[in-house]
This record gives sequence, structure tokens and C-alpha cells, in this order.
Amino acid sequence: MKQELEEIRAAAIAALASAATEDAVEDVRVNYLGRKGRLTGVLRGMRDVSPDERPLMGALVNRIKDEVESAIAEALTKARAIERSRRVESERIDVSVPGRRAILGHAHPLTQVTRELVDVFVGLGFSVAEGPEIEDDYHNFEALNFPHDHPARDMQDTLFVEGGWVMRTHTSPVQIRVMESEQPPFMVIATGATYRHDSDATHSPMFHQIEGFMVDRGVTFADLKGVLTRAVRELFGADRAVRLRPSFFPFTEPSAELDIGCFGCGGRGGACRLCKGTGWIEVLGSGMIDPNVFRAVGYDPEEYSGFAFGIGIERIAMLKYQIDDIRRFFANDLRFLKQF
Amino acid sequence: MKLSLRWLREFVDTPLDTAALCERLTMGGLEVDGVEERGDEIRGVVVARIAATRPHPEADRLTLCEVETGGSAPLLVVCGAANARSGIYVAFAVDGAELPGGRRIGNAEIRGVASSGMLCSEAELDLADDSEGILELGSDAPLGRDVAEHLGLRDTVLEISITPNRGDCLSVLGLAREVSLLTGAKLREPSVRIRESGAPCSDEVSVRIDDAAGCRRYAARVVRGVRIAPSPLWLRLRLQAAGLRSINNVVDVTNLVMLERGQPLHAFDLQRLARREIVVRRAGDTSALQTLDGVVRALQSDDLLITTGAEPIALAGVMGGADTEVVDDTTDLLLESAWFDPSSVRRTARRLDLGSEASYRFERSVDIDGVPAALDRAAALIEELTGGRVAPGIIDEYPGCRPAQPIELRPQRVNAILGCEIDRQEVERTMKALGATVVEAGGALAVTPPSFRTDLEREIDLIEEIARVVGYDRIPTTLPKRPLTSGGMPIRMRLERELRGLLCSAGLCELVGLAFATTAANQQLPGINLGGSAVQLLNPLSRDEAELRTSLLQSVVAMWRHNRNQNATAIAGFSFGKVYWRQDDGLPAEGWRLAGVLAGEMPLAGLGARRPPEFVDVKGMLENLFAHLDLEAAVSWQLGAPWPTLHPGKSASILLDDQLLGVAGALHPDAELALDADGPHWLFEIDLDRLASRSVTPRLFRGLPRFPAVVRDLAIVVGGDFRSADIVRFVREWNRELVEDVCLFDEYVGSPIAPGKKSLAYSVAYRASDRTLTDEEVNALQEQLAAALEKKFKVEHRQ
Repeated sequence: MKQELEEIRAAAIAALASAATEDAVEDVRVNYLGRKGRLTGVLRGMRDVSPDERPLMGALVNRIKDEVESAIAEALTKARAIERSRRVESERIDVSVPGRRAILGHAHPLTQVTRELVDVFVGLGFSVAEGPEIEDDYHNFEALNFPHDHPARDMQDTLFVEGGWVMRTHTSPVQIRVMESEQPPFMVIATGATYRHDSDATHSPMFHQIEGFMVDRGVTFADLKGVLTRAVRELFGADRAVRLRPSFFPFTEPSAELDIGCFGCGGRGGACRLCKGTGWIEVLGSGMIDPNVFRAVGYDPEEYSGFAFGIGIERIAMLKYQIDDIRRFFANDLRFLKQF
Repeated sequence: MKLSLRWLREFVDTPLDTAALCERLTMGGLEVDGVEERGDEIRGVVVARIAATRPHPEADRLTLCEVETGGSAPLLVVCGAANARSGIYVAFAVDGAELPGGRRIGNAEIRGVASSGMLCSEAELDLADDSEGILELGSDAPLGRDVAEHLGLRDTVLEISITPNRGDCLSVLGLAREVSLLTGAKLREPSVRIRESGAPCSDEVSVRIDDAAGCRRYAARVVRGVRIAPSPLWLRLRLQAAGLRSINNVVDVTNLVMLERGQPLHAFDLQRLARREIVVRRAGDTSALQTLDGVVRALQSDDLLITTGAEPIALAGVMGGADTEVVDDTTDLLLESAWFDPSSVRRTARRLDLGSEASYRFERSVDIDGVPAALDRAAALIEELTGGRVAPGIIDEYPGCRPAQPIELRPQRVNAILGCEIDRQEVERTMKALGATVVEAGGALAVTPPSFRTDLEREIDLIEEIARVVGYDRIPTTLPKRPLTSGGMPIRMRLERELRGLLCSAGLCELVGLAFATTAANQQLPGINLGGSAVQLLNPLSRDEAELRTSLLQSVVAMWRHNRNQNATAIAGFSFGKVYWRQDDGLPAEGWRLAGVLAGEMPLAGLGARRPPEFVDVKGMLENLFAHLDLEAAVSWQLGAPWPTLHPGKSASILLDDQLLGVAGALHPDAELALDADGPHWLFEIDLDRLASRSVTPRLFRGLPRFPAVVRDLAIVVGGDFRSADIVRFVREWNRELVEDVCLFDEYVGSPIAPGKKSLAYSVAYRASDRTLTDEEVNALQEQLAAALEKKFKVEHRQ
């Protein structure tokens, strides 16, 4: 019987060695440990063993059974591992199929650019103010040092509204409204729609500006340079070339236009169409607030000084995205909007 | 302003090349917009002399010319011009020459005779629009010299933007002064020598100024015996470079002097003046003047006029009269050089739409001290070019003479404004360089700017001048010394940012529309929460868009229409923007709105399937916005919108705290037709100001439930127009402690439900916060709820 047990053990282990699948291992288990299995049969035959031999034989049978069971468990783990690796080898998805997407909308390029600009200035400590688009002549022109019958008014062809109002030609009237209602110091930006009687590939009768101004004791032109250089480099890159060049606006003096190194040619100029070969692109107008503006709002220009600047949002967006015609912003063609 | 560098160099020698000069001008506030190289198109045209001529053997009209250029043997050129004759100096295009317009000249055989090159006319060299015969050069022209060089055709012309404050830069002399100031090059002030003869000027004419505010200075001279003729080539070239047309020698001289010195001049035909007394006055009762363009101009009483007796002869500074203009048989001239009030000239020129080179300069103020010098320069040139004789003496009425007012300039103020350290000596030096006189005045400087700098009136003007001349580059770059502040944004702007993100996530594209609207569109889409009427524009860009939009839906519908016309199948868009109205008190008002559209066929995320949008799509999207703002409970929807243009059975008014917040719905079929906007669609417009002004209670954390919920269905039969949301609201209120949620999950019409009725199925979730509800408890609650609904709404229950 001892010999029979050894044979059974060897046969079971041999059968397991060739059982590569879970099913084959199960077959081995049934053959040896199942109800009609060979080892089960031996166990049943223990009744016929003499009581003297029984402890010894019992121990042997149990040992053999344990060995077979653990061999089966081991074979099962192995067979499962083989099966998993076979499955992994056979399973292949096509990762080139298009993804299943939720339909997403797009923010308008003008609001994207506005947001970027506003965030830069708010980050520098400016607060956002707002003002009406239908303005009076006083806030839009007179208080900003545009006298009546003065050629400076030619710079801004006006859309007039019944009742003596105008569509604001710039966001600068917000300067006056803020200064009328608040006392310095303050740093404020204003953004919104502005209007001029003009329409072609680079002029729209409605367009958008962002205006900024700071008033305090002792604000200097050097501060204007510092704040604008910081802002422009945040927008257009930390090593962007920046220059200020003298200009004229009725409500600032000294006035300056700010140019940045052209992003078309990297400032080299030549045959660049973006900068017309100058290597520079004009991005904003600025200056020290004119003493006449301070007088109009009742500030003493000897006590306070300040600077102001204005940026055309369409212009920045056209430069940034290289858009050929300003009217595209307002046609709202979905094929255009979905590009941004 | 076009500036010929050849002309500029007559007044100032600058060693800078063109690029460096442009850079210096631009950085000095005179922005160079463009650079044009002229005369480059002409190559291989040289000065030659016709040594001898003989007739062409085969053609009567052609001449054979023997042409010498000072070098090798004479060449034979066939020429068709009548003035081709022996001894004259001509422009000879040699074999291989290039002419304007890309024309190439070569040797050719003309009617059997070999011709070497061509003799050029003015038109062929682009010196005139058309010309007769070949160009004759002076006999001092050196043979063989390049003609473009000889005639001074090679030139660089700068296009410079002159800001409105710099009227003094609207002339070659003015720009020469700037070049001198900015580069340190020496300025050559031109001097004028004038030969006078005959009876004195004052014998012929007198001048009286009745309005010294309108005309502070008026100078005049008389020139007799002029012969009106075309101008010489050099004069025509000067005008051409500046973009002016040549008229005749007298008019061209007045224009030349204007370009050179910035002082517009006018020449009257002396013999055609009704009386020999010039009076400068306001028009008053004088009602009309025929200007030299032949148009009769209606005058206003404050137009400034030049008159003789009762007759107006010119609109001062704007345009001369037809009756006294210089014509071909004019012999005697009255030349006018004056200072006219900028505002007055501007008003008249703008009203009559008569802007000109002259009015442009008067509007920007001319140099009052330069008035007589410009007159002398013109008289001397006219004498030289027309054979006229300048009458002795000058009339110079100057009632508006004012003593120069020095401006106080504090050197420390310069640095306080600019934030730099420029010393007193440099301040003084800069002021002197721009032509000012400077006197010490206590701690400050008393600065009297030169007369041509009318823009320098205040200390700040001088400070700007210093910054400009020393260069903005020299001013340091600093940050303001002030305490930190935190920037902020209006609530509406923050709200817009949040909602924009949600709407984009929902698949809508943002659009930005122009604020202009037609009357018809404003009637169709009158907007919400505004009183009064539409705002009218007085000078709209197009006649039919003369109003401002009252509803942002106009921009939305325009976008929908545009994209439908581009064959877009799915159109989903939204916009933030303003609407405008005129209040009953006449004052204009503006408000912020959010509007949008779902139209065409909606692609369903991921499935590739398309279906028309449904009301629940737009409603669900808006509900998400309200839920995001924690306002869902305060918002309710009512059938029907406040405008007849929305479909009465397919639109809703959205109420916030029982006040109108917005509308959502489909257009009435009549409005679809009127607005050319059809197909399946849903629109919405929300009053953003109202939404932004609603205070929102801050969110608080609610503990997570510790006991399970029990969900039961509830099916009822109600009338066909029953509002399903009424049940939801009722059930929530019915037991706030144990009903956690209730929602509609099915709506059914048809057999076995009786006609005119519908079946609604809700699921109700019960949950207690302190225990697990038992079946018995929930069954009892369901029964109580069923009874309550029967009582409240008379519903029938389905099993």
C-alpha cells in the first residue's frame, strides 16, 4: 500500500506537469482527489488497514494527500498565470480610433485676449472699473482736454446719438468718471466696447479697448515705463524688446506709444510684413495724465500726478493670431470661432 | 506729410543715412510710416546733344538725329518729335535703358533705318502725365551724365505722421528744424533777396482787418506784369514729390512756399478785384460765395471772409473765390499771407467739407512771425519765374500782435514728472536748442518758445519737449513706490467668467456682435427689463442700422443666420453684451445680457447621432447655470414669454424671486419668417445685471447620510396641461424631514390613458437622518402622500 501511495503521488505530479490549463489541472484533481479519485479510493481503503499500521499509514496518506493538494494549487496558479499572459498577448485595441468626446464650445478670441490682459493688470494690483458706452461730450472729449473745433478730434471720428450724446470713442471717459467719484491713490483699468465712424479691414465701427491709469503723489514717467514694461513682458514674453516713443494724445503729456519687438521677424525687420520692416510693432498708447484733465476733475496737478494707457484689443488679437481682417471677429463664423 | 530728403538737405546737413534718420525722427515723435525711393526706375538715360538732323528717307514725320554723348562717335537715332532739331540737349535712352513702368529700350529698325536707343519725352520719364515732343534740357547739362541724376529725380521721400499738435512740422523748413534739434546738425535758415520796382504797393491796395480774433495778421504784396505759364520742371518735381498737382507758375509758387515754410498763400488777380481795399471780416449778412471750384457756397454769419467792398473774394484759409482767381491772362497779382484763427478755419472747412492742404495747416496754427517772410519768398520766386515785377513795400496789418509770454520752468519739476535726473544746464541747453529764449527767474527759468512752436504754452509742454529731445530711452524704468493693493473685478465680470466656462463646457461657442440694429429687428426682439424706446444714431454707418440693439438676441440670431447660410448643421452659441434704450425721461440707459441659441441638429456627445434640440436641452443648460450659482430654488419657469415674437406655447418666462430674469423659447412662426431664421431652434436671453445683483448665501457643507434611502415610484394621471413641476414642489414641501428627493422620470400620453390626460411617473427618495426607515414606515408615507396629492391636485393614481 505504501508503494501504491508513492506511485499515485508520482503519477499525480507527472499528470500535473503536463496540465497547462486550469481545466487540465481540474481534471487531475478529479482523477486523484475527486469522489472517485485514486487517492480518495486509497483513503477509503484505510478501513481495511490493521489498527497497528493505521497511525503510520494514516500519517503517510495525509502527507501524500497534502503533497498532491499543494501540487495542484501550485499548478493551478501556474496555469492561471499562463492563461493571463496568453490573454494579454491576444487582447489588442486600436488606439488610433478617434476618441469619444463631449462637444466643447470656445470662448471668443476677443474675450480670451481681454481676459489675459485683465489678469495681468489685476495681478499687478489694478482694479477693474466700468462706464457707460453712450457718453456725453464732456466725459468723452472736453474733460479729456479735447477742445471743441480742435484737430485732435479728427483722430476719433465720432458716432453721434440723438439727444446730444456720443458713442464713446475710447474707454478714457472712465478715467474721468473714476476721478470724479474717488480720491487718489488708485490704480484702475477699464475695458469694453468703443465706437468710431470707420469701417475697413483694420477698423470696425465697434471695437474694444482696455484702459489703465494710476494716480498718486509722486508718480513719474519712469514709473509708467516700469509698469508698462512689466505688463507687456508678461503678455508677450520676458525677454521681449520694448521701446517708448514720443507721441501725442490730448489727455496725456508727455505722451508715448509703446512698441515691442516684432513677433513676425523677431525684430530683424527686413521684408517682414507684420512690422512693415521696422522690426517694431505698436501695441499701446500712454502718457502722463495732462494737468488739464486733473483740473477738470478738481485735483491739484501740483499735488497729484499719474499715468494712463490704452490698448486696442482687436489689434492685439489680430497680431497674436495673425488674423487678416477685423470684421472676422464680428461675423461669428463657427469655423472661425472653433479655431480659438 | 511727404518729405523729400533732397529738399531737406537744402536746409540742414545731416550725416545720418536714411535708416538712421528715420529712427531718430521716429524716436523724436515724428513717426516715419514709409520710405519711397524715387527715380530708381530710370536707368541708362543720359544727357546728349543732337549734333545734326536729316529727314527720314521713308517717313515725313520722322527725323534722323545724330546724337553725341561726349564719348565715342555720334549715334543715329530715329525720332518722331516735332521739336527734334540740331543743337538741343536731350534725354537719350541708350540701348538697354530702363524707363518707368518697366519699359526697356533697345536698338530697333524703324522704317528701314537702324535706330540706337530713343530720345525721351517728359511723359516717358514719368515727369508729366502727357507731353508734346521730347524733353529739352538746358545747354549747361554735361554730356553723358545720367539724366535722373542731372534732374534730381533720384530722391528719397519719407512719409511722416505729424500729430495734431505739431503744425510747425508741416513744412520742409519745420522738419529741417526738427532734424537739427534731434541730431545737432546745423540749420541753414534761408534768406530772401527781393528786387522791387514800379509804384509802391500801397498805391494799389489797402488792407483792413475788422476781426482781429479771426485774423491776427494779414500781409500782402503786389506783383505786376506776370506771364502765366507752366512751371519749370524742377518746380513741378518738387510738387510731385509732395503729392501736389501742378497748375501754373504762380499757383505752383504759392504751393511750393507752403510746402517749404508751412505758410499757405493765396494769389488774387489784382485787376479783377472790384475795389482796391481788402477787408477781413465775418460773413454777417453775406450769404454766398462762388469758390474757385465753381461751387456756390452758402455762408454762415461767423465764416471768416476776405472781401473787397461788399464782395466776398475768399473763404479765409479755406478756398479762394472764382471771380478773382488767377487765370491764363492774369498779369497783376495780389499775394496774401495771413494768420487765420484755427477754430474758425476748421469750422468752415468741416461744414463745407472743403479740407485742403491750406486749411489743414491753418487749423494747426501757422507761424505768425513767419507770415511776411513767406510772402517775400513767394514774391521773389514769382518775379524770377514769371517775369513779373514786385511793387515796392509790403502791407503788413498785425492787430493781433501779442507780447511773448514767458513760461515758468522749474528744473526740479522736470525731474519730479519724468522721474529722472536732468540737470539745470541740460534743461537750459535743450530749451535754447529748440529756439527758445531762456532767462533766469529766481529758482526757475523763464522760457519764451519760438513763435513757430504754438504748441508750447505750459510748463508741462516744455517738460515733454525735454523728454522728447533727450530721448525716452534716457528716462529710467522704475516701479511706483506705493503700498500693495489687491486688484479686483466687478461681480458681473466674475460671474461672466464662471458662466462662460460652463457654457463652453456645454458645447456653445461664444460670439461677439456689433451693437447696431435695424428698427425692424428692434421691434421683433424688443428685449427684457427695459423701458422706453430704442436709441437712435444720428450718423450711422449704414442707413438701415441706425439704432442700438434692445435685445442681445439680435446678435445671436444674426450669428445663427450667418452660420446656417454657411451650411453649418449644428449651431450653438452664446454672447455676453450690452443692450441699450432710451428711458422715458430721455436719458440713455444700458444693461448687460446673456443670450444664446441652440439650432439645427445637436450632435449627441460620443454617439455620433444627431437630433434637433429640445426645450429640455436649453432648459437643462440654464438650470445648470442657476444650480452653479446656488439659485435653483429661487428660479421658476412660466409658460409664455413677454413678447409676441416668441411662440406662446413653446416659450417660457424665467423668474428669479418672482421677477422676470429672462426668456427661453422658440420664435413664433411669423417671426421666423420676418427674421429669416427657421428650422429647429431654442433661444434664450438673461438679464445679467439682475443675476449679478442677486445676493447669494454662501454654501455650507451638509453631512453625508449615515442611513440608506428607500426609493419608491409614484404614478399618477393628470390633465394634459398639468405642470409636472407642481408635484415636485409640493412633495418636497410636504415632508421636508423625510422626503430627500423627488424627480419626474416618465411622462406618457396614449392608451390606456384617457384622451386629454397624461400619466406622470416620479421616483421619491425617503431617508431619515437618525435611523434606517422600515418598509412599514415607507409604505405608510407613500399612502399618506397619495392621499395628499389626491386632495391637493385631484390626481388619479395608477397601479
